[in-house]
Amino acid sequence: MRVTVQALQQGRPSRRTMVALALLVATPALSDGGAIQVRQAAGPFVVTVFSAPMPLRAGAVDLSVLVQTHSGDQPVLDAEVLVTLTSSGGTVTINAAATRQQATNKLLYAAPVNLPFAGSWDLRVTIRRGSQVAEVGCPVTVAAALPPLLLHWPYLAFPPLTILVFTLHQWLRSRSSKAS
Amino acid sequence: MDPTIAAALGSWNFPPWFMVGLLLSLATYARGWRQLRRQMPQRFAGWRLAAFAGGLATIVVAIASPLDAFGGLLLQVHMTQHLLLMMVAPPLVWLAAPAAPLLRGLPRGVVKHGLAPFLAWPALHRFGRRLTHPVVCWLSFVVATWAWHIPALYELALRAPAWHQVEHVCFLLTALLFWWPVIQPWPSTPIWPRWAMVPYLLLADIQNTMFSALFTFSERLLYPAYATIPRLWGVSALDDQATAGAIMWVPGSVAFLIPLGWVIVEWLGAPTSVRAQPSAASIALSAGSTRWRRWDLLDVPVVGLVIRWRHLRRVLQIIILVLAAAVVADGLMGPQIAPMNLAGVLPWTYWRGLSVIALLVAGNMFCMACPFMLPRDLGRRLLPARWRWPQPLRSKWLAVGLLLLYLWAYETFSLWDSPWWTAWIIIGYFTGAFTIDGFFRGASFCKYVCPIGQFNFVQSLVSPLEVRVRDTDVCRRCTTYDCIRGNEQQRGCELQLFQPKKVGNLDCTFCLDCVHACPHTNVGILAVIPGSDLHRDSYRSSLRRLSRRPDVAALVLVLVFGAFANAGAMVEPVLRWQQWVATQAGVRPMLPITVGLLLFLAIVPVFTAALCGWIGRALSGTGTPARELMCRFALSLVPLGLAMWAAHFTFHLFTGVGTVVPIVQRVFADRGSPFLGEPMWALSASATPQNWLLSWQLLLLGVGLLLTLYVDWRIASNCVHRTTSALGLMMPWAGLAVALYVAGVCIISQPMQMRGMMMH
Repeated sequence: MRVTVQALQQGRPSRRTMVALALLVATPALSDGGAIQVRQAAGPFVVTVFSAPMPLRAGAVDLSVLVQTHSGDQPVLDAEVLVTLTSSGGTVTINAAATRQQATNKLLYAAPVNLPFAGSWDLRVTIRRGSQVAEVGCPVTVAAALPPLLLHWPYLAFPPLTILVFTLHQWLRSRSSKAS
Repeated sequence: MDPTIAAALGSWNFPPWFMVGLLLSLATYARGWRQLRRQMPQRFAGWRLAAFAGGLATIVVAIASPLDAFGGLLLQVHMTQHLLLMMVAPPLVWLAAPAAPLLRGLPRGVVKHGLAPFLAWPALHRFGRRLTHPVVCWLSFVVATWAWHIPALYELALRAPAWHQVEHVCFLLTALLFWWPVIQPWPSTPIWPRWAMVPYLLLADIQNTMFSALFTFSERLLYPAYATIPRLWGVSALDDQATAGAIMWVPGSVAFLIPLGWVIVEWLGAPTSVRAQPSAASIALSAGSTRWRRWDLLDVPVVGLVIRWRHLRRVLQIIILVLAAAVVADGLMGPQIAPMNLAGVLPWTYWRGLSVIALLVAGNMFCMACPFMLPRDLGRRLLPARWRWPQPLRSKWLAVGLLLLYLWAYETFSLWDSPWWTAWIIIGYFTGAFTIDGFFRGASFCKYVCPIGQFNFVQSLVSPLEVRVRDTDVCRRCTTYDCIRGNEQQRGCELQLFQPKKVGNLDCTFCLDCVHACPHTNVGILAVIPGSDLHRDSYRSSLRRLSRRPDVAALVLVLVFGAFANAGAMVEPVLRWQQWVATQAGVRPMLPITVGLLLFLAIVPVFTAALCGWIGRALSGTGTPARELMCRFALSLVPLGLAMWAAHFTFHLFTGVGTVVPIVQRVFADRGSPFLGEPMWALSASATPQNWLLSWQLLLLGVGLLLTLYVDWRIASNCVHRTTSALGLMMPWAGLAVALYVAGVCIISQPMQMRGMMMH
């Protein structure tokens, strides 16, 4: 994570403390149901990139970007945001436009991306707003995908659970009929 | 409005399952409330319904509104969300006295046969009494509040959406417990005297004050995560934390103090004696509830009128006939690449998928719109059509053979990949229908030959709609039997199904001839519980008893095992295995396919069914012949088979839903009318299976398995009286069902060939 000196100087004391704290935290910070991959001042913006799930795994992932102004922390809502993921060695490059329509929190720009395999990836986010262009990036580690059936465990669990409830139902019925 | 505020306010997200659950709850409550209001107008005044709706609306605001979207960024928003879930929604829900209306709102059969044993269970009553003891209620609420705000747990919920949901469920459930003794929803009786609620609420308010003060006055961040999260609108993390504390403090205290005042006023008023109240279940099942009447599709406004329209069937048949003609023409003359040809897509991707969806949600809709009716009628006009179908062929054996032949040809010749073959199959079908019904009386083609018809007949045994008699008393008084004999205006059932004796959808083409013929308008399209007649061995009109129809059992087994074979043949490991065997043996791939299908569609089903029948008979000690047991239990596999067909066909339909667009563009362009533009072939290549598709397939298989096991249990219970014997009888069949389910799960979790698309 990289934070410029300028950003530190512009912040109020409480914000400065927070940025310093952010520098000290080695593990990704967490927000909005996902992890902060990078929070960085770039050009006229402060850009925060969130990712979900945590940890990132091969398969469907969600990348969300919050673009704020340098002064006043105001969210920027009219930028074009492009997310680029490049696998180590540059064999695979994935480009995805992040849009506010795809985000739940409409202050963020979200891009659903399908990561084909685990390993080290380079994450770049490019922000354009008129003539202003900024780019932030960081390396991300992607873990192996979970087996598809593990992701859908509730659908596998409901038949045995229903059978258990039905067994109990039948036992209660036979008990009450014996009693009567 | 400021665009940032507008964007924030637009951050709604409605999780579908959650919303469906809440809406169903509201509908059930409203239905029950309306019935109870007639009996107890004072007890169930309008404000009860408003309270229930308000409670559910509060939950929606907490979970689906921008509060949820911003909860991870601002602690004060997160606290507001918790406040709604813990202080507002639960008291509103309990004020609605929901137990009796919810039970009354459910179908009577569900309460009487499904829930009644649980509701009458003494152990559950004792557990409920202990759980709603004020000490337990108060402690669970306080412990949940404090525990989830320990930094480690709170941050776990912040970073993992699943834990966040667990946290919310925990808050809501413990808050429901907390507010139970305070509201004491009717018809429950209090454990403690009413005055005890004064210290109960006061103590809760005191702990809430301590909790809120911790947030408000703390000079350090309680949750380090908020230090690294981007700040919005210049709100510092510490200010955010203090505001969160204030929200919990002031509105939280108000939420405790208002009921406190209400309890005191109530207590100081006229003393109320605690009377034993009837249970919610007995109220729900008490007299006065409306008599349950089967839902009838023909009674639905507009839809009913359209379905009753005498020419509807002919119109549907003509539409399908035109489509079939287009498929044949394109199959013979168009490009011989399946994803570019109508014959490669319309029958294999669309028709199969839509037919199976119709079977799941309604019934045998394909036979209703069958285009082969037109050549059949033509054959009757042009040819003698006077012979009776030969006696030895009056069974399903011929259809079994044709189905086996079709399933073999489908894999061996990759029919789905050959527009030319597809066109010829349709031509063959038309010729067969024309010839058979041109020489033989009745609907011999439908009843004894048509493999598509047999598929639909069998699968529609699990459909939720059935053409059946509305009132059996009317049929008892009937002397003309127009439903089967017909009359001057309308022919009767061609498949010899006599409505008063008809059970289930087997052999029913949904032609509605009986509906039009009945002079008493006593035949409808009624709702039935799917699969409810599979376990009955009743006399079924021209089909007689299915326990004496090994041909029907064989048909079912071929269709059930065929479902798994047909889907299994398109997954990667099976395709690799076929190739490996062919290479090792030095033969053409046709041979391993033929041997594999023969094994899986003929030998394995017969051997397994015989083995299950024999083991079940030995374990249960029943004297019922093994053949009869086989015939009855084979039917239980129909739900699982339909689930597999549906999982397979809907996979192709959902992944290839856009494939017809470029083909239609291509067809018009080929005919020199490119007014639809250049073919967008990307639509035929870009679809990838979505995550929800596997969930849908697993759901189908799970429901299919459960229904199969239920039918097994009912058949076994009908055959023998002792529970242990019934378990022994059904055990091998249940084992077979579970084995097929596991096979189905393995198949659908494999990468599949994208048949009918450019990607295969």
